[in-house]
Amino acid sequence: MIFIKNLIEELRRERGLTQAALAEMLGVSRQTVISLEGGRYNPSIALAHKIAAGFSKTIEEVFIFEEEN
Amino acid sequence: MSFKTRLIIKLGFLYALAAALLLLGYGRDNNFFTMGTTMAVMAVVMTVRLALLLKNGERLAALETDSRDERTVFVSMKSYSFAFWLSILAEAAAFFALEWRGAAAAKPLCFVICFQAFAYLGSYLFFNKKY
Repeated sequence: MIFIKNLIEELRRERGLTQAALAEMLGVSRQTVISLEGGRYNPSIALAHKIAAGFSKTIEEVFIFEEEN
Repeated sequence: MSFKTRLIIKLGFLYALAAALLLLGYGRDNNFFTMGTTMAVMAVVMTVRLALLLKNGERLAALETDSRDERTVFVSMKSYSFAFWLSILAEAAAFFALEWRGAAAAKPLCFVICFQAFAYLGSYLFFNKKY
């Protein structure tokens, strides 16, 4: 089983962005940002790409895939 | 079509439906009038809400973002799916209870359940092929 962790909250705080500001930047609701940061929702590839591009990172640098052995 | 226009059209449909139900039930002994009144009240409340939204551009924009947000769509689809299956179970329970008592309403309810089952099967085959 594959688990996906993300560094969205860390990256957001590094850039001094609020959740609302990040949501506006990505064109999603603030609730979505909250769910993403809490790991309760995994984004689509399109949104993942948008998030990564917003932080000037690659998808792999923002989303960490872990496989349970 | 803009988001604002879609909201207004949806509200228009609600008023039309309320008016139709009120007309159907007026002066007769049925539940159409009650349902029409309820829908008319809902339409009025939604009109007030829409008027407030139109005054506040930021809130309207936030609502539009919310409606297109992929997580909102995901949650909405999950809710539809869950509610559908809960409804089927409730209908099946009602069917058994009615059939046990020999009530005439059991037969149409049975048809509804069968229709829903076939509708699900048809939808599944369609979307499985499409995607």
